[in-house]
Amino acid sequence: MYGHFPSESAFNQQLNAFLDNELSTSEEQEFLDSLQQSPALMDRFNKEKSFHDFLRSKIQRKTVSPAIVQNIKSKIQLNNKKL
Amino acid sequence: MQREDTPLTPEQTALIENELVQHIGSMYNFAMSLTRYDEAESNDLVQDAFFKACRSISQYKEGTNAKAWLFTILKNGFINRYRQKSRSMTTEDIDKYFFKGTSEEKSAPQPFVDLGEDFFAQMLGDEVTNALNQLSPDFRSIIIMCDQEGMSYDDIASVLNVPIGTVRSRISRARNQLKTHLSEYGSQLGYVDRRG
Repeated sequence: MYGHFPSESAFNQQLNAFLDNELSTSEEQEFLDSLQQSPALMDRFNKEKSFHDFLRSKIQRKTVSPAIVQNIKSKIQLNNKKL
Repeated sequence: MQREDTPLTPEQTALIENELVQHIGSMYNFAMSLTRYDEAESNDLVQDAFFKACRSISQYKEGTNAKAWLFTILKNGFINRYRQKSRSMTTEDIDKYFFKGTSEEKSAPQPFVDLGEDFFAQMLGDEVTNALNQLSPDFRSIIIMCDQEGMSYDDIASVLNVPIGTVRSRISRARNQLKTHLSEYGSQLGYVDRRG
């Protein structure tokens, strides 16, 4: 069911590592080979990739107030004492 | 560490301006995830952490990973603040609760959660943020570091002071749990999976 992976968890971890560019070249190739041999795993890969892309585009970044940044920069410029 | 009354040298000031200041926004984003989006507390946390980093600038090696270093200082600052508020918890308890995860982590299975594309395509950013807020602090912070800040597993492991294997496992589990929350949240809002 999970190719050469010993468990579903192991496959999921490798899948996430692949999408996060955390695998070596040889690990990537091995992972892609396992996908090619299993339509079920390829289906999972495609679904997880869609979610991965969705997540990265939809999580709203919280923006720091310019006043906070300016306060920090001002204190650095003062260059000491009460940092 | 540099004494509080010791002025920064011009070289140290330049180093701070060139390598640290650019990460203030990311620090704030990370702080917001830790404080459950409390703006005032996040502002205090960021400023305290940044000034602590400035005082410790002699420990920072130019050209190394400033963001991971700043995040580690911010995380430790958060733990100290939390401990002051919650006298019953030790530093270790807080670190474990927020950043180290539970003992179930290694053994619990991680089944695949299928959140249909049509289904999540209807989700807005606010809804994703709400679902993210439902995650445990350790899961929320790791998603912010990986998916929003684009940090490597090595850097995340360094910030959390956990093995890289734990990072791999936790990211997979955190995303699955987020999908579950999104699915539940979407159902409450009336979103439907059109795949039938």
